[in-house]
Formats: sequence, C-alpha cells, structure tokens
Amino acid sequence: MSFVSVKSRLEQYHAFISYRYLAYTLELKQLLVQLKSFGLIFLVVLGSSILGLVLLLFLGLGKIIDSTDAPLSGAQMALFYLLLQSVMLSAMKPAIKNSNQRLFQCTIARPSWLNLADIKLLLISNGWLIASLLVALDLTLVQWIKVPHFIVFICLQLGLGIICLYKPSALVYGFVFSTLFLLTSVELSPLIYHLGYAIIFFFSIFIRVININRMVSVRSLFGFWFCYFINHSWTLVWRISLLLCVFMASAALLEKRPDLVNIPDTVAIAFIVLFSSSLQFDCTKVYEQYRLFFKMTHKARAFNISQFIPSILLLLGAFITYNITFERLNSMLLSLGFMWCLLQVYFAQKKPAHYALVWIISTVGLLALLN
Amino acid sequence: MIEVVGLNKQFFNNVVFKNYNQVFSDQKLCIEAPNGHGKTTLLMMLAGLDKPQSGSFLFAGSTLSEPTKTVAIASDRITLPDFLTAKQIIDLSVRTVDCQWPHELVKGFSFTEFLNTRFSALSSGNQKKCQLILTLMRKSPYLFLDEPSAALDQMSIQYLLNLLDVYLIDKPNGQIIITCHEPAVFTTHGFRCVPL
Repeated sequence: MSFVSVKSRLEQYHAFISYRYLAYTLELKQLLVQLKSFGLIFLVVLGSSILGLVLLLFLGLGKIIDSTDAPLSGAQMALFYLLLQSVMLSAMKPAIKNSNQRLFQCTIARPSWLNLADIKLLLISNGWLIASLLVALDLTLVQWIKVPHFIVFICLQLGLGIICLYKPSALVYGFVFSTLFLLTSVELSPLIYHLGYAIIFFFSIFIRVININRMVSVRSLFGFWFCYFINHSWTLVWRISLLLCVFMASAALLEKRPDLVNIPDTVAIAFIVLFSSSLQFDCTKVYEQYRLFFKMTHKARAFNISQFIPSILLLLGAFITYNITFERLNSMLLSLGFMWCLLQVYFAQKKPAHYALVWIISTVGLLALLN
Repeated sequence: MIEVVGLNKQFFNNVVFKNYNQVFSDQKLCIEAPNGHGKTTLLMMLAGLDKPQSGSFLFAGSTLSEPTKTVAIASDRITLPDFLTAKQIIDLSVRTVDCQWPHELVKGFSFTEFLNTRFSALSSGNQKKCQLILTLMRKSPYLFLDEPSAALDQMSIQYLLNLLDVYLIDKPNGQIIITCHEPAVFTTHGFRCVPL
C-alpha cells in the first residue's frame, strides 16, 4: 500500500470519526434535554451531596476489591455496579452508535471503522469503567496479586459494555441468571463469583431472543399497556434499577444504624413514590397519542382511567418487594405512600411544573413528622 | 448479471424470502411487487446493508467482499443525519468515499439553494434529491434505487431519467435496479419490469 493511499485512507477515517464525535455530542445534548425534568429534581435533592455520591461510587469499588472476608456481598455489589453501568450505557447507546444513521454510516465507511468508532465512544462514555481503571492504577503489584477478581471485574465492565451495544438481549438473560447464581450458590471465593458472571454472560450471548410481543393477543386495555411496556421496557428498567439502588442504600444504612430505622424507611418510600408516580409522565404522553384511536373504538373513558394503573402497579410492586426484603410491614407508611403517590400522579398529569416541588415538600414534611 | 441463490430471510416469524432464487440479467430493470413483499429488503441485502439468514449473491459470477465499494444504493430506509445540512452530508460522503464533489448533479436537480438547509428541514422531495445525489456521485457499477421517483417533481424525474440513460455507457458490466410502483415512465427508458 503506497504512502498516498495510506494518507488518503487516514483522511477518510478522520472525516468519519469527526462525524461520529459530532453526532455523539449532539445526541447526548438531546438526551440531557429529555432528562432535564428529572435532572432538576435530582439537582435540588441531591445537589449538595454529589461529591458524596462520587465518593460512594469509589467506596463501592473498594468493597468489590476487598471482598475476601465477605465474598457474597462483594459479588452482590459487583453485579449491582454492572447493572447500573448497563442501565447508563443503554441510555447512551443511540448516541454511542449513532443508531439512527447506522445504515448511512455503512454506506460511507468500512465495517471495521464503525466498530472502532463504537468502542472509542463506549470507552469515553463508560464512567464506571473509568472509575475502576483509576482505582486499578493506584494498586501496587502486591495488591494486584491479592485481588485477581478485580481484573475479571474490569474485563466484565468492558465486555458488558460491548454486549450492551451489539447484543443487549444477552444482558437481560445474563443478569437474570447471575442473580439466580448469587441466590443459589454457596459461599465461594470472589474470583469464582466473578468468573461465574463472566461464563454466564458469555453463554447468554448465544441464547435466542424471545419475541414476547407476538405471543400476546391484545384484546383489552391491559394487553395494550402490557405490549406498550414490552416495547418500551426502558421506562421501567431504569426506574427499577434506581429503586434497587435505594434498597441497597437502605440496607447499608440499617446495617450500620438500626436505631434510625424511620429515616431509611421514609426516604425509601419517598423514592418509591417518586419513581412510580413519575411513570405518569410517560403514560400521559401515551394517552395523548392514542386518545383519538380509543375514542373511535368507544373506549375513551376506560382508556383515560387505565393510564393511572401502571404507576399504581409499580408502586404496589415496589412496596411489596421492599417489605419482603426488609421483613417488615408498616401499614401506616403503606397507606400514606399510596395517598402520596395518587397526589403525585395528579400533579404529574395536571400540573407537571409543580410535581418536583410537591415531592420535595412532602418528603421533608414526612421526615420531620416521623423523626 | 446478479444471481440470488437460495435466499432465506425472515423478521422474527415473518418469512420474507424462502429459498428464493433469481437471476437479474438485464442491465436496467425494475422490480415489481406489492407492498411488504421484500423489494427494499432485497435491495438492502444486495447492497450488503442487511444480512440474510442464508443464501448468497453473485455479481458477475462472484460474491463481493465489500459490496459498499461497488454498489451504490438510495433508499428511504437509510436515514441520513438530520442534524447536518445537505452540504455537510455531501462533504462527509465525498471525503469518506473519496469521490468528486457532485457539482453537476446538484445543479441538475436544482438543489443548489437547499445545500445549506438542514436535512430535517428539507421537503420530502428535496430529501429524495439529496439521497439520489449521494448515490449517483459515487459512479458505482451497480446502482440500486428504491422508489427513485417518489416525491420528485416532473423536472427532476426527467433529469434522473436522462442520467440513467447514459449511466452505464462507461460501465459495460454495470446494472441499474430500481423498485417502483409506477414503472411506466421507466420502461420507456429501457427498463424491463421483473416480478419479485
């Protein structure tokens, strides 16, 4: 290959990768605009503790590294980190791959260029992996030898990122089977846990995708909403993942300070209400979109009522899970949470601008009342 | 000559091609089939942009290792970057595909005044023109056009037909395949209709 040809090819690649960076930044900006309403809530609520959250991230990594004494909790933490990473990357995937213009990219670039650009942008986007690499750089050789599972964990972070881009269905299977592996296994060494994850995720790649959508016959509004959430599972996935986050934080706090049981309980319920009632924002959009269609089929009233059911079902599901996980049932908090959720759903639908304010005032009020 | 051998393609349980065999020997042909029968899917697979479950495509007797180098395709299924202007998209393609800037095509399609318009703000007719310019400027021996006349004004259709009349003069082994629901205008310019 001549020098001129190599130079020309490099210029072509440079033009392509410049386009990918531009598309990436523009799509990320759009994503941030979509998250603006939630971003504001989190900024108000968690603004002062962002530094603390970053430190928590590194503390969690520390728990994964130093899990020789408690391998199971280290393995749980590792799986939890991988889940959060996957949720974040799933949100960023259209920006990383420039999915909308994927075929156009194929017409102007070699397939290997596409993959190379994907991996580059994946590495930039994966804050979880970057945090692990920063910790890894700080370890000495002696420490490395003591924690071989951390190398597997970093490989898993990279591997799951790639799976998220090219075979996302494997993530679902992988996380389900890994959770079962954690539940059923006896106490193993950290390395075996991590290798177990690696094997599970590797074999998950070969499992065929099941198209549930085709199996469901839509004969009622329940079927309609079920199919909607099957096709827009993302709206539920990120909420459930963040709820898991809240549950784990509650568990950690209760372990250290069982005397402060009311605080984690109240905060957990506040977040359960937040994540379930905010589902109403999505449901309102769906309602507006298909309102006329259901009016034509004489189901306008039933469709109007049905839009509130997903939020209520998510609330009940989260409450039941929380109560089973922590083995207690506070009926007062349960009924209070139910009423509160209804109030938030009302604001989400009628006065969305006041939604965040109502939630914050209610949370602070409840904390003051119960403590 | 393009041969399709033992093609199988399905989307989940929807079988589009089942052991499909076909020989496209005419230099200019128009594939006809009702909606949803796989015309666009076939073109996308021929262009290497979609993969069949099984089967092969022979171009002049051999398979193409990099179809995108010898095949140019225009289809609505290929979403162009709507955040860029038409000029930016053409610039990008010129630089990555390594071809000349298509001054003649832009002028011929009366597209000059829309070059600095964002792709998302272009009318459907101008979006089609942009697609056609990007495809024709590559001068590939195999040219696939999916519904090329859809949304185009009469002057642009005439310009396109004139271009297609002379497109294969310097490409003796080349072929033009189009899909179209109203093929009459193309058949008068030497295209032969082939059912799928």
